Amino acid sequence: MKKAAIIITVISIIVSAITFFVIKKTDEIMDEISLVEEVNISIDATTKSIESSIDDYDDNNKYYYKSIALDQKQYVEVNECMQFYINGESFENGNNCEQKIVDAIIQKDGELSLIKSITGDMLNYTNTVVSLNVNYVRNLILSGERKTYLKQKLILAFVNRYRDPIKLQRAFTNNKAYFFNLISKDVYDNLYKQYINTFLNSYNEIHKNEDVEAFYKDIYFKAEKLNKQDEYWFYTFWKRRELEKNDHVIYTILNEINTHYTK
Amino acid sequence: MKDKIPGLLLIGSLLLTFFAIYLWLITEEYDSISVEVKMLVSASFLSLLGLITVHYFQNKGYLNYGVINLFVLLFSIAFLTGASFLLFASYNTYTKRLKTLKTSGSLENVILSNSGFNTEDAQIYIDLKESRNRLLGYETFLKETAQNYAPSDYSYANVIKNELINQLSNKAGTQTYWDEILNSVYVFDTINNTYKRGGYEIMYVFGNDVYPNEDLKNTTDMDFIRQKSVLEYWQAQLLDADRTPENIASFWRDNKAFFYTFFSKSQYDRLCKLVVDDLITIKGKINEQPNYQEFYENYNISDPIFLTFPDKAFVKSYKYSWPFSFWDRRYEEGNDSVIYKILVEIQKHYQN
Repeated sequence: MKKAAIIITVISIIVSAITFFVIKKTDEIMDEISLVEEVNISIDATTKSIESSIDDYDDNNKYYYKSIALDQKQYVEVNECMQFYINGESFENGNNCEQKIVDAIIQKDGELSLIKSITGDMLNYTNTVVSLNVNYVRNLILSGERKTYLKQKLILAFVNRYRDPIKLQRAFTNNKAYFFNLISKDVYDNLYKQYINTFLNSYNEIHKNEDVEAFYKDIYFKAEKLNKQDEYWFYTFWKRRELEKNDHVIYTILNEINTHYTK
Repeated sequence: MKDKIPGLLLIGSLLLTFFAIYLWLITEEYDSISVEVKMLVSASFLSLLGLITVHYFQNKGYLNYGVINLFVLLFSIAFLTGASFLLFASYNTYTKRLKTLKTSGSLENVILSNSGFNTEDAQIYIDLKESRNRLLGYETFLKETAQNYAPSDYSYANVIKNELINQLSNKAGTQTYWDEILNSVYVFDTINNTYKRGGYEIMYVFGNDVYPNEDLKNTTDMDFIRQKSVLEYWQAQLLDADRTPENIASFWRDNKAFFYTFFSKSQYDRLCKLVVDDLITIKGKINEQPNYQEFYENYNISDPIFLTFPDKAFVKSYKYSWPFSFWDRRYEEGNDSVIYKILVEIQKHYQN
């Protein structure tokens, strides 16, 4: 009996040792599980915070205020100009008003910064997707004619400076490095790729015709007769650029951008 | 007796082990060994020790009862049963947890965000949105400034003045802050490279006039605008200051380095020494009067009797009555001893 007791005790001790080992292993697994849970929770929180930073839903009623440091001459000029705006009158009553105000903004932050702001203004932000507002330019022109849209007027005044092909080319050359660096390929593919390709394709389609003028005549006729201005806008765009003599420069620039991002 | 020692030792250690195990089992340690492990270790120890004890005593001829052996056997069987049961249970738990780990993902394959954005793209979008917001901010600024614009009653110089005052208050607690204030108060003359106001002339800077929100009209002299702005700011600070002794003590402690940096010994001697020395001497003389508190409580500078304290000749020996009324006012505020201490410290600092 005693011998049996001794043997059984020894076996029990061995079994205990094995159990201890198994319990230790289980603890390690528990630690890893809770670590994974923690990481998932923190990724969730980061995701939510990114989404809410991007989401514009609440932002539309937010109050933004950014002061511009004006010297005395500008202070008087800008405010005199703005009196037209406040009174609901056209800026044309003043002397080059929109350009003066745009100059004041550029002096504060620089041209690049204003271009970046316009870039940001062209996007729609929601908490799940950011997209390009393809009607942005047309809305700009239409609403800029109304007396009360200050931002649109100022952006138009700024953009109008670059209808001159030489200025446009210079601005592009000076600033392209910054924007190529800012906009990643993913963002380009998401926001701009399709839009820019539409321009490139329509240009190519126009110019594969021998008689470009006839092609345009046809397009304009169809647009007016069938009231399809919107559909043919990508074609009439190039006609307007041809009249401004900057169509070739713009095509080259768009091509360069497209090439840069499809490498 | 000597041969009983090992036996006694064994029994003693057995009892001690019982006691230790009892304590160990009942203490709840934070982040510790689980109860099962404790039980297994205890059982192992006990059974080993028990076996050795029983075996020893049986060899000596005691405890040679069948019952004892039966008991020992039963105990070992119980131990084996318990240990096997625990092994079975913990192995079950282990496999279950392993399955959870496999499904929830080990650290190698944690799932990244399932929103549409990866973090780099998100940063770009946030950056662009902030740029857009800046544009909206300019729009608000332009509209609001234009609405407040009234060239006939409020001039650009005043706009600058308000801006300077804002900037000044943002710089509080720096050397530049103090340099700007002290330069304006002591009126630094850039032409002669000297300070125009020293000694008691400093009293003319503020006096009793409160600077209202003074309209600077159409002046374009930036130096003038700057000085007016600083003085208006500092006047407001003096009026609003917390004059309790504790606040004055900590204010001095936090800012005295700037004061000592601004005033070299020669500047101090030229601009401040006279006033500081006078204040200290006068206060010293007043403190010698046994009833000065009562006097201060009853009279102030507007009473004719005030300037006969501590005595007429002494008061007359000073050009200005200001330091006398100074100590009365400080007594009213309750900070006269703190200020006296600070003045003495300043005097000592510049004596070396």
